[in-house]
Amino acid sequence: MAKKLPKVDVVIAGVGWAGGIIAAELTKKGLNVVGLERGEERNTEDYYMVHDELRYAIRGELFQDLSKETLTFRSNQKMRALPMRQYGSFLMGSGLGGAGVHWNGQLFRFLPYDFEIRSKTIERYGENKIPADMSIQDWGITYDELEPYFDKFEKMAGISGEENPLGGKRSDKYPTGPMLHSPQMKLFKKATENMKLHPYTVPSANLSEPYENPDGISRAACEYCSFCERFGCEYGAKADPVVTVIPVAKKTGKFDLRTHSWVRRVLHKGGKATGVLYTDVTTGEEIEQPADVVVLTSYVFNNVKILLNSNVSRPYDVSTGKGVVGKNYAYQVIKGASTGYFKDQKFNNFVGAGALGTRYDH
Amino acid sequence: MKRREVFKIGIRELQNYSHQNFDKGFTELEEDQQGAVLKDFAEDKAKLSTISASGFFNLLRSVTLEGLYSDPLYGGNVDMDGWRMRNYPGNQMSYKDIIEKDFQEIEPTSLQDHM
Repeated sequence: MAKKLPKVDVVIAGVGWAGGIIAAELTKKGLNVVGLERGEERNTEDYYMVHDELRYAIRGELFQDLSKETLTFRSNQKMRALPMRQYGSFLMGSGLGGAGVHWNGQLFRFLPYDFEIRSKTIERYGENKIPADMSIQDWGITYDELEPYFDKFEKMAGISGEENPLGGKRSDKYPTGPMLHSPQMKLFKKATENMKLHPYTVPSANLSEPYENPDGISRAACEYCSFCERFGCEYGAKADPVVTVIPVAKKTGKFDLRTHSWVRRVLHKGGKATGVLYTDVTTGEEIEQPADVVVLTSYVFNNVKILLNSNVSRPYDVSTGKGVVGKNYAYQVIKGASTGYFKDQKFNNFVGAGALGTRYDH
Repeated sequence: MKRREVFKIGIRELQNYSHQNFDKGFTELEEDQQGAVLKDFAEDKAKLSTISASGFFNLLRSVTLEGLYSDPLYGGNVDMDGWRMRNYPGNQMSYKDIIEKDFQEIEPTSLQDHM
């Protein structure tokens, strides 16, 4: 029998970027929020010895521990799904801040086209361009509708950048200027400008200068130490939930953060969520947390797992195209790499930041 | 199987294979013979019934590289020579002063310097 706790306004399953932002915004409005995080608590002080490639980059200190919990994969339904035992492409997070701690910090806005990818494609190329079995859809929300929130996020995180010449309309400039340019970036910029393209500095969550955000959170500037993705930032220069939104939620006194708390199911009655059932992983005890609002913010994989275990909606069936839970998962893949060799020039290739680069859209 | 279990079997198989083909243990072989043994493992020409020969080779290869390039804290990369070989300065707190500059040779430091 699960222990039942007093009801709260909001319960959040997973305290990374999404959970952290929601916790900060709702507690600021006066709501009582419980944040349940299956992993451990983290602080900037934890990264005193972070320049350790073996521990963090290779062994994946900050990732979900695949020896305890993993995913299974198959390319089609006829195959036997096999567990992922080693990290390859995507790096699932766990612990306070989630994957938002070990990210690189490249923060592009979607282009207006991205939000209406189906209708814009049809508009330009006709209905036949989209194969019948392709489930591509418009987002149901446009760039203009989301623009104020892009702006708000950029100011909260202190995004450093310059305007994308071909990007959507901005209500304001980036809160901090672009990152410094390495010689490699200068070469790229010059070459693409000569080609009449429109290069710009990658928008970066690694601060280009010290910054205080509208919530009064002050952070130091990036030191270009090059330990970003797979690492936590020892300077707090890289925006992550632990150094931005979570302290804001905590400061209100209305955020009850419980780590090592693993949400298993959403409880519901008459088609309405009433709370969650979670396990205290330090003791194995099952606990029920009733709430008016239940928020699932534990990334797609775990959200889907919780929803399926909760029996709240129809699982997506790939053979019929029916059902919604687990449908349309898409992973971002940036493909294409080229390497340049320069006869008379040598670069500091060990220097950089996770979001240090120049690019162009076209 | 856990990594250490794969290693235990893999090393034994490496030894068996060396004996079968050269009548000597792996460490007693000439360098080119060692290379031939490793190549047979890498290409699965060594037929093992317990583990995948190429799987073991890949694991052995990655831990060798890890030993060469990880912080000396772990016992490899002696005197940071692995890093020096690649002009890699190891653990540095800041590159803000050189980010905009051409190549700079920097004497490596390790995590030990933090302590």
